[in-house]
Amino acid sequence: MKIKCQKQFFAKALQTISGVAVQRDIYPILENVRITAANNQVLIKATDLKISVTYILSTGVEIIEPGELLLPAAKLNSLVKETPDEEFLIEKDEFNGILITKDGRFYILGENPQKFPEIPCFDEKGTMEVSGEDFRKLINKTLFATTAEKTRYDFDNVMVNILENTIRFVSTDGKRLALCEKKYQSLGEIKEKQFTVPAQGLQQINRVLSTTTPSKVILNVLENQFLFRTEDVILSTRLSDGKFPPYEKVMPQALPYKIFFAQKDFSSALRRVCLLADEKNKIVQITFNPTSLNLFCRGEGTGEGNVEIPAVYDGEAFSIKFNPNFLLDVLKVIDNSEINIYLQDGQSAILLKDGDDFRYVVLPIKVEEKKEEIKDGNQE
Amino acid sequence: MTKIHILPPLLANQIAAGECIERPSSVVKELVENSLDAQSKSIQIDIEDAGNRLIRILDDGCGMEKEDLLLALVSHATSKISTSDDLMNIKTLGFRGEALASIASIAEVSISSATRESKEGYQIECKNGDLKPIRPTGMAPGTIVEVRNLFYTIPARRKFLKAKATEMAHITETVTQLALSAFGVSFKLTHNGKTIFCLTGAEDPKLRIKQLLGTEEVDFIRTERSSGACKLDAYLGLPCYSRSSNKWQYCYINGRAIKDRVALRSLQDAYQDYLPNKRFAIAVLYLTLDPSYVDVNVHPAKAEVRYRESKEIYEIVFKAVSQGLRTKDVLSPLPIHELTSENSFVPKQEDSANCQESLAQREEKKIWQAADLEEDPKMQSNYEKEADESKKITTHQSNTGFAFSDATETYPKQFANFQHGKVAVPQENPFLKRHLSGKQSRKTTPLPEHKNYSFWDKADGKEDSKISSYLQINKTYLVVESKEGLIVIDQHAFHERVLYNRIRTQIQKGKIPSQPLLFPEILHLSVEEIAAFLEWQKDLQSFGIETKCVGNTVEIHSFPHAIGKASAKEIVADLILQSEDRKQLRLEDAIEKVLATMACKAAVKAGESLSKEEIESLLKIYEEEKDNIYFCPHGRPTVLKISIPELEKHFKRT
Repeated sequence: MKIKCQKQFFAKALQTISGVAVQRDIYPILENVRITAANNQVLIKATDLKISVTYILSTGVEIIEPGELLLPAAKLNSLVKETPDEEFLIEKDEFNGILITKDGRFYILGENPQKFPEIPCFDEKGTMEVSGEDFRKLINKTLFATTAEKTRYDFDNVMVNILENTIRFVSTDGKRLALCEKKYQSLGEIKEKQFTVPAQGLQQINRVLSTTTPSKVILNVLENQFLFRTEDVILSTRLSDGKFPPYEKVMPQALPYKIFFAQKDFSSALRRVCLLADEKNKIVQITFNPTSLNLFCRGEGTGEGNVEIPAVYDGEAFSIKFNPNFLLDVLKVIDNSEINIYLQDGQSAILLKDGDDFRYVVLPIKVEEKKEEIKDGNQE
Repeated sequence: MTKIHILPPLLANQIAAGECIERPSSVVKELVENSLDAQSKSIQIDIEDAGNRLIRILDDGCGMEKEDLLLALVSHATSKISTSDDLMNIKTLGFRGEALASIASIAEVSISSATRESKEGYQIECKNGDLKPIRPTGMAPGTIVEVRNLFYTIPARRKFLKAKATEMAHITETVTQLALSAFGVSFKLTHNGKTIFCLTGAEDPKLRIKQLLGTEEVDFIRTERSSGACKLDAYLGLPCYSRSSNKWQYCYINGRAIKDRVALRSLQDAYQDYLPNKRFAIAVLYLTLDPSYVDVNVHPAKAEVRYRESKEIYEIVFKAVSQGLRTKDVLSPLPIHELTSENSFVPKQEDSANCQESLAQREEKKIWQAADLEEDPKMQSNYEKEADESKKITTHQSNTGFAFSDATETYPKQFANFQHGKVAVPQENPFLKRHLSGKQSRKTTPLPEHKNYSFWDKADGKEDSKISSYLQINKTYLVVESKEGLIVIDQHAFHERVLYNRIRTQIQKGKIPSQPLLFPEILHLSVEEIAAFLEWQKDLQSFGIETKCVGNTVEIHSFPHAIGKASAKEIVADLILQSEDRKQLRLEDAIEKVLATMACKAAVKAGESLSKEEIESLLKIYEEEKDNIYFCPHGRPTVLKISIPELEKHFKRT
């Protein structure tokens, strides 16, 4: 194998995928990237067995002689990054690679490419097309609500539900729940499906997608893989067999009241009042009034803050308490400048909507007075 | 032919023996208890062959008349109670009238006894259940009971005995247990003619406790408390002498040794803050209760009791022990021989003459002061500036990793005494006032007027403080002078404990905001656990844990907001487990680990250099904090004290 590479393109490809290649794994072959030169394309692959990336380089490379190499990702990435030349050569000497620059020659010890694990193939049958922006929103608007905490459910997963015309992502940490859905265009026959994807995998995928910013993403679900294809990357993540809670049951139905207010006002007010909340025990109290919304925080030994913002509300006045982090998180991912919240009373869950395709459920905090007298214990 | 018949008395006694006579030590217990009930002042216990061949008890108690002696070996014969009302008001150790008869059914027993009034004694023998005729014998007042060939009639039981050393250990333990309670009585225990211990009677149990439990120089704290019908007198070993099991914890209820779950649990709870996990303090508890408050007729060997108000027992023990541990300095004393010149605080690079001089002076005045300025560039630059101005400043950097500063600029005249002094003298020190002439005393010392000195003025303002000087060593330990001597504080462990106490109080006091869960956590419990759970369900709710019980499962619907990161399931399970033996649930105990981690993360780390203000603030807490600050939440000590007598001992000044 012998290829001539333009640094600009080759470096970007390596940069994008070397995050996937693992460092110091007990299975050292995964530290490598597999470079395949054939059919006017150079494919660079990396995997940690949970997620896999294939970067397709069709511009900026010239194949002089086709072939394959398996080289350590981190070393190759650094070498290419540090190379001052615009162009360099990569050659093959048995399993080892030689990087030739104008002023130097780097002989990199490699491995037999056949040892690299097989990476799931993208199947062009039954695929869906989602716009790149929508796809990133699906991830961003749900990923934040996951948690690594262990309970009987696996909250470190995002549930993906493929419906007739929409694809839905749902995530929860047991205390709040985020649901985002986007329309897709079917390319072939689509079956309705429900599966879970590890949050960690999605995070990696999000990182790769954010460096390439594709205009559209083609999705495909195989038996135990969820695959994504853009113009220059093919990504796949293993599905998890995690248990996801029955989320439909906790989606509040028919909440009687509605309030709406500007996102900007609310964010600013919330961030400010929270500064005085107890660090270990953050609670914000929100009071709904017909024309305004009041936020209040108190911290022992720090003080208290109070901000009033304009709002439109059609229900009875009452107060409700929240973990402000649950609200701050969602404010970061909201698109619209106005927020609609549906509610019932100070003890029930609220539903926040951002447009038609995002719903967010949060449970309020209950404050119970600690009883002075604890009842007598049992007598032996 | 009838199937049901009455067992012959010998067999009945053998069955009774099965309950209360388990091994040779049980015989010792029954017989010594009899001696104690007989008001003996001195008891000798002779054992041969770990009690298999001979157990002999000699006492100088009231003895028995000839007629009584005849009845002594008959079952249910006793002098200790006579009506069932007496059963509610037991003041003697024995009362069942079964022990001697039981022993006689499984061994060869001979009893010789003489009362103080009679001139001669009588002896009675019983072998294999056959009473031999009583015969007179000459002896001093008191009783001698000899038990030979124990279990010879029931070889099966004999087979179950453990190695002789083990059986002897049980006997020693039994006698220890009895001797701790009857501290006014002299005890002598021998085995195969060798004396194991010989204790003379004392008025104060402390001596007896030290003799029996003080394998090392364990120091005991005495604490007392009484409420209602209960009175507790407790001797608590310092936490630094902890043991790996609770074998060294003795509990006496009206003089009767009882491994009482309620009292021992309470003891452990009170010690919890002071001990590492799974360590147990040495302690002796003497509980005095109105006999009608406690039922001892529960267990054949009387190893268990029932209370009318077990909560009261739990509380009195808990409060007394907590109070005792708080009042007394529970610090581990430093073995003085370990303090060699190598780890003493003498900078090695010093000019030896200067060093000696200043050391001598230091010794004389028993005071020294140094502040660590090494890590604070701002302060140092102030110093440098001053050095240029006044040319009077000396800062010694030693190779031991800390800097002594003499702070000469504040006390220029005193400094004349200390040439190259790494020792500066705090002015408010009473020693100093005695030593220094009027010219050198505080009032006549002109303080240079420069704003940079505000730093030191602040130190001057701390006149009331007991702590006058300090030093940070290895960025981990704070060395402080106190009235009693020297205190070394582990900055991380100490700060951790202070934060931990604060979080704990916050949780104890405050309202507990509760975060509901979208999907309830499910906890599966056994039938017993469910019963315990139902009893405590309301208390859980007051902690912000809302639950529903469905069959054998508990659904957790909400959980305290402040500890949201912890596993709800584990904490509820912990709380239920905790409720066993407890009379009160405490959330802070179940989430102790969570709290400890919170405190540990927030606390200042070892290896962090602290500014003067920070150190002062920590030391202020040290002086003011009333709660336990001597052990970190994981049970490691936070403070080491070296008293002036210890220093004097080391320098051979005594």
